[in-house]
Amino acid sequence: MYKQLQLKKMDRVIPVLEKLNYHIDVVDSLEQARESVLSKIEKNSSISMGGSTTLEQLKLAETFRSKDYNFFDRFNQPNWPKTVECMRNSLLSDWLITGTNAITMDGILVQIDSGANRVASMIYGPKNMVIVTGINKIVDTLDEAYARLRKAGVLNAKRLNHQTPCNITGICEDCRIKTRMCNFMSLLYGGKRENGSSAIIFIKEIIGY
Amino acid sequence: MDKNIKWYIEKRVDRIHHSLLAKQFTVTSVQDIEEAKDKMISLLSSDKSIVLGDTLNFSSDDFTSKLSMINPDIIDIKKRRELLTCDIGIIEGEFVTTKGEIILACDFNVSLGLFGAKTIYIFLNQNAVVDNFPHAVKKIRERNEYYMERSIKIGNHSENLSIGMIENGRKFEDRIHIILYKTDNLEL
Repeated sequence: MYKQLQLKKMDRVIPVLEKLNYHIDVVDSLEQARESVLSKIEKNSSISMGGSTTLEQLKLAETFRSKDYNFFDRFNQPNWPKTVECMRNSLLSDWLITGTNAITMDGILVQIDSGANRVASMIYGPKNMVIVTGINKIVDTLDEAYARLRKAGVLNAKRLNHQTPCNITGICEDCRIKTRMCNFMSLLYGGKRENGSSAIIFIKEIIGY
Repeated sequence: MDKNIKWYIEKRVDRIHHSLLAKQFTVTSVQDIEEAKDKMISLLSSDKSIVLGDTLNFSSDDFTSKLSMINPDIIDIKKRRELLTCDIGIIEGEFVTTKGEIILACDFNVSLGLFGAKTIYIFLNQNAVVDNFPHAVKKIRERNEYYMERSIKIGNHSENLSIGMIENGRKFEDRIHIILYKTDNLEL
């Protein structure tokens, strides 16, 4: 039932997003999403990736580590300062591949971040952006998006084992911990980019946080 | 000015200052916008890469010419993208919530402020106080025309509205510095 409702919402939000200058792909499976991402990216491009359970399942990082791409591999750095340096340099990549936390029915993309690299680069920096998302990210309003973010933050803290109160209690405690998942937030109202384009790939599944 | 209004505003500014410090931002309070500019200039040196974000309040000739003397790239719109990861970014914040969250608007400012620059200085008007993030979003959407006009005047032709929120300054210690300035144009 929930999936059917979300699919209907997807059908309704797609024309809204297209008007906001996003190129839209709809696919049935993770494998098709992976193919869709790779078909858009020219070889030898520089690529950055946001942390995302959806993207993890696409196993794109393994592909981008090949010599065919110039991958800003922030997942594979020796320490935190090097990771931050890599993430910062990746703001100037040719392509950003990322997920999002919520898409409202009027086409606003809403996301939180612990370290800000993802939420910043979705707004400005990388020339092109591809967002891969399950249909469960579609929400009616901004208020619903904020509520969704609070849950996603808890789940991501658990996934990444960040030492936050929500990792123990399962609910947002509005904590003051440095590693909280919601240090930064961004709202994006359109897909136009100064030097390139934005695409959203909808996977017709319930996937990711 | 009515002394009660003045008292009310001063108390509010004190609370904001306290909230920002509690969020581990570095905060400097100055008397007015001119002192804010002078303070900013005094903190810069020519051996750092620096960029000025989208701003109308801080785009006066005297300020930008002083910035240009430190480093001519600071205000070069064509070099903005490559300066996204510069040593020092200077931007104008849009709002601060009563809890001390900083709200930014428009693409370059948001990206630069949230993560791009290694160190960021944010000018904040003491009147730019909102109850919470949704309130800030509502106000920014109401001002969309202003932001588009600002972008065009500066030469940044992005048509996307975007909004960023910095919840605290803890994640990257000593990265985010707030210069809180007063204005005569007080709003309750």
